[in-house]
Amino acid sequence: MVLGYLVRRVLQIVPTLLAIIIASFALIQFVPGDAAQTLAGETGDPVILAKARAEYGLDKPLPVQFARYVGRLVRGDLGQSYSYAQPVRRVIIGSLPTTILLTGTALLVSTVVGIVLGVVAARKPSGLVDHAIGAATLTAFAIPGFWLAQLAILFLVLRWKLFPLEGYARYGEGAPTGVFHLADVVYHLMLPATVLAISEIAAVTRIVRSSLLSQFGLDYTRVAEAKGLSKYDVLSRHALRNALLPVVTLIGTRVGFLFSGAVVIESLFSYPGLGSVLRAAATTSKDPPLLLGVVIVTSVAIVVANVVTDVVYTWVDPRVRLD
Amino acid sequence: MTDRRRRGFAGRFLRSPSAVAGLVLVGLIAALGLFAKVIAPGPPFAFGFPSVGSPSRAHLFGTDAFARDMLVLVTRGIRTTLTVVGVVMAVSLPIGAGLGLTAGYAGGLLDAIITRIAEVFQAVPRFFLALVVIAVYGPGVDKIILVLSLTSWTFLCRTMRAETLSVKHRAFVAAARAAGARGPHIVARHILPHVLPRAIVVVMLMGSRVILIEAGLAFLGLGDRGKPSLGVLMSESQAYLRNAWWLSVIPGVAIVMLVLGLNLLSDGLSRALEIESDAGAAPRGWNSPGQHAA
Repeated sequence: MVLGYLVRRVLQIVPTLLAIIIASFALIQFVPGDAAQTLAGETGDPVILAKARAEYGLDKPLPVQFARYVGRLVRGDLGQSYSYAQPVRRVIIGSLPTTILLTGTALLVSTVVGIVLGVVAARKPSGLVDHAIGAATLTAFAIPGFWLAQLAILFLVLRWKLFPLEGYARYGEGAPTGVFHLADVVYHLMLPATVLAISEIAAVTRIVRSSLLSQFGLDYTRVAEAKGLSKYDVLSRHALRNALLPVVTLIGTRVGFLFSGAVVIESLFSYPGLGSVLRAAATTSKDPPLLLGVVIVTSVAIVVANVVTDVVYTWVDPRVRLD
Repeated sequence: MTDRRRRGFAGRFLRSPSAVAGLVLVGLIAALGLFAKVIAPGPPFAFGFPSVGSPSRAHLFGTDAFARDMLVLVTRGIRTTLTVVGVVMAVSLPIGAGLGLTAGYAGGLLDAIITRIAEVFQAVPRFFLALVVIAVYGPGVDKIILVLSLTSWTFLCRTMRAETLSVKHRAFVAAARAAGARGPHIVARHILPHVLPRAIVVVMLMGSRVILIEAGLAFLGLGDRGKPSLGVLMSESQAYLRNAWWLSVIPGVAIVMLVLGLNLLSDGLSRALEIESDAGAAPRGWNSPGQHAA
């Protein structure tokens, strides 16, 4: 039964992936002027144009082009970036680690802090602390990430000089090495990761709180209370385990939010990751292959993350297998 | 819903402090946008005032680096935001609710197809999709509206599907069916009134996300340069952060007030609904699904 579920769940992603590929292919088709035109440059020399068309297979009928496109994607070939003059795959692989570091840190921070705040709020529903946390999370949801980053830069960086303004670490003359380099990386990471995590902290807090409260009054928590456990013990030993499930199931969605947030945060802190690459490709350098490459990679990552979460979920919570 | 119960709902809604605060916030900002031309007359990009002037009696919100009046720009920016949100909400409410009701009521293959389509749209982060479409086809409010509408209906569809599933087997639906009513009639007359309030809660949350995404795109330089925009104003303020706080703070506060107001409104509304529904057992205090909702 479990195996059947797994197979079904994995098969379900096939149409999703296909749709993502078709959509990205369609987007390329509608790009004003084709790749060959961009490569041939302003001059538009017909000979070079025809040669570039043949080279990229743009002179073939659409279905053939699509088949080739899928074939290339399957082999992991995402095409050539115009602005970097190198394969899209290499650009993505080059900038992915910093983004994973940034979003991973934010994911971790938001999970831990969110759970703690959610538990604290749920301890005394409608109490003063609960209302304060409730108001704080609502406000956190309403603040645009870029504004929070602006304010953080204005106060924490420019006024009080607590954090470095930009970048991944210091390089060149007098830059720290070894362990100090690592410390420098962490120092540069702290502010952007925190700013990125804020709205996620709010999200996790709200999820944990409401799912904790929905456990109260259920049979197993009432039994635990009847045994004479304090409310805190019931909460931390029994209810929390079940209440954390929604935090697990939403990881795929949360990664998507963090990636989107990273585009803005990386740009503002000049943090050299996928977000900065994406922003540049969208605004200044006009690089459709790179843009689509980044979107395809992140979408596939999110789809796969969702499947992995679902599968892990059946393992963590055996009740799910029933459906 | 009888008259007495409806009044009860309105009463509960208005007694909830968060709902009232939300109503006030949204009302205030919406009024600024709707009456922009009365509050701050003149063409949106008029210049020739003192450059980077702090708020004064002549210029309540100060002036920016291009010697333009911030009150004019901010109110017109709110107008742009309201247009985008309004259209996106108006487009995705019928699509999301329609597909969700269909999927939930019909079940079977139709349900499977609709659910898969919604999943595809949810797989790609909306912000990325908007980024690509605008980068490829050029900036424009119409494109932002198109992308955000295309991607906003999915969560509503899922919620409506779940709500329909939970109502579908209730006695009053069975009674209508026994009385000879057909599918479309049952959905429109019996199920829709039950699930519509929940749809409105979801649509409000969605609206607040749309505002943030629109502002983010404009901030990154992917908005419509021809239209005043809060996001663009804030991105232009970047170079003057240290000396001219009002350039960043005033548009920022406007966005926060509007988004916070919408969230509070949907929170208050959903709480008033929860007490009304016989499901009961809703957690006390604040419990909106939050950011991941939409």
